[in-house]
Amino acid sequence: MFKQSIFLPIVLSVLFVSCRVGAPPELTQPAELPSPSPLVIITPAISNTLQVISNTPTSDIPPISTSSLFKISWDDRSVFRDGLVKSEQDVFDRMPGASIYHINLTISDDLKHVQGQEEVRYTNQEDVPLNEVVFHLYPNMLDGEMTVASVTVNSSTVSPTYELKNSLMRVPLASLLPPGGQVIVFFDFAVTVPGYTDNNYGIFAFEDGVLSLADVYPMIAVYDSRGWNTDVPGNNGDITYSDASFYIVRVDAPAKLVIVASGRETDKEKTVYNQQVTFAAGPARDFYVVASPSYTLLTGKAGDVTVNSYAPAQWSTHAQLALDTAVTAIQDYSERYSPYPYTKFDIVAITTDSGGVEFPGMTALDIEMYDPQEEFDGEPSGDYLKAITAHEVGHQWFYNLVGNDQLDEPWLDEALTEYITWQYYKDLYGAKGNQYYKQAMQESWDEVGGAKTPIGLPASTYSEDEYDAIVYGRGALFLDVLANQMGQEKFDQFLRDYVQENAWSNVTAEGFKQLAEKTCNCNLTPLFQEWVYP
Amino acid sequence: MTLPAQFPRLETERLILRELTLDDKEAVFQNFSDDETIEFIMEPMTSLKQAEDIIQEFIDGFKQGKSIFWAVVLN
Repeated sequence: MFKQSIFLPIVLSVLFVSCRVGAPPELTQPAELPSPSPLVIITPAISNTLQVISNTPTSDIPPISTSSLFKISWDDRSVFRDGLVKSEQDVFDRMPGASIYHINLTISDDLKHVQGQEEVRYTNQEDVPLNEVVFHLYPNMLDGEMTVASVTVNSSTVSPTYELKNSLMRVPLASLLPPGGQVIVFFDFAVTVPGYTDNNYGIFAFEDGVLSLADVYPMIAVYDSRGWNTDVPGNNGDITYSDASFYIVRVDAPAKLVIVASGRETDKEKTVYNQQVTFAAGPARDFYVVASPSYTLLTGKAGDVTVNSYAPAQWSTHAQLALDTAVTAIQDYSERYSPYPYTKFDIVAITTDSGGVEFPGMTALDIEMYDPQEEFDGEPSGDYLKAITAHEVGHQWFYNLVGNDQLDEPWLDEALTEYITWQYYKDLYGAKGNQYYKQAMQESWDEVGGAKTPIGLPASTYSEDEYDAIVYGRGALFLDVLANQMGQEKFDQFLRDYVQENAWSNVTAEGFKQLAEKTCNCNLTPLFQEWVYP
Repeated sequence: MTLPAQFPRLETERLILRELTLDDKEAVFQNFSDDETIEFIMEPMTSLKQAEDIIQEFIDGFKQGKSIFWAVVLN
């Protein structure tokens, strides 16, 4: 359990003190109660709703079938059903062992601190017994701070170990967890959110009145062919590599904030001062929360999918442009590859230097693109915004639906997303769109002189210039070459099969190649050696 | 998170933390009507009646076991 005191100098020479409910400090009872001094300050500390039973498991061990944070059976997935389009609602049967996260997040009034409780049911989906469950503590590598306390496994206290500058937590298991076995891991955590830094892209920061909380909770690492994957992200690219999971998250925050998050809003309680909003998301690779008092909402429809665009009111023209682009992109990709899985997609404007960043059911876009007077790379900001939006929407298919190791094989989501964005431009603008995008990819590659650097390297091995030029530019051009070699029709069929066969799984370059070779009944090794492999 | 049955009173050399009462309405109003103090929290208060209402809400919230809001006063 955490206690937290924040002292903020405020105008009028008063102190604003926030104390969280917890084990109180030394308590004395004065004989006579003094009257309030002139400096009477209110200290808010809304915590949990009535649904919360306890923030720390006690000797009253909850049955493994029931969550102690939410009054719901671990196996009751009905709460997720309405967040999925009909064709995806059979996904539960296909993912019985997916991790289920139950999380409380309490955002402080200064928007710089978050307290949480996390209870997660982890199922060993590997074919070997496991003696630990490993979590990434991403805030500790994104210039913020995360601490974890009161860790239990099946209600028994355990002592985790920490590595990699506290960005990795190993939770020991009392006995080997056999394949198919399940454990409930529970802990409290506290997070300090930084301002914008070059090291966090703005996705984990409180900046310009927007609180962007990427990876604000401890996330279970992927157990892959090398065991627990504990790779630390380098300077380039996305930071997560995760298994598709289910999330129920209650966000407790000041009332003035517009809260946008992955998944569907299932419950909301609001007072004049505070709000508690519950979201259910999944299957999803991650859970993302953004909050700002200045967001206004524009909304549209892409078939059965509600598309929301959140931005300050002054940028409504380009908020609408991003919305319209997302609607057409969702329709295009859904027809080409497979239906967009969720009933909602959100676009949020944040301060970031990465153009856009993908999250499950959401994308965060650079707010500078919302200014119609701005130019990017010599292009009007509106054109740039449309291209970035279409790309980020594409990540819902390559990153979220079909996952991959974004650190070691980033081309599998970035090059594929660039390629389908290219196809979107072709569908939307015909030959002119095709030429426009192909030229953009070629110019990107030309930034490094058309170097024949393999596209299949880990993100950390590229320089910043190389990363964009090779993984995105040369990567998309490789897929065009592959499509020409396989035949466009067969390649399109291959991409459909690739998405549908690998939905909610993680793939590798080798898996991609094998399915392509199966589809074309041809040997693609020489082509992959020329473009992909080191 | 379990709240105690009685609202705790905490005292340090410098500060006292205690339950709010309706007598605190002016101090509450002073803070909650300041734009900068509550920039990200709520709309600024414009009347003492609003301060009374929110104090009552805080008192009720504690009684119902939902939340705890502290008054911090100089000792």
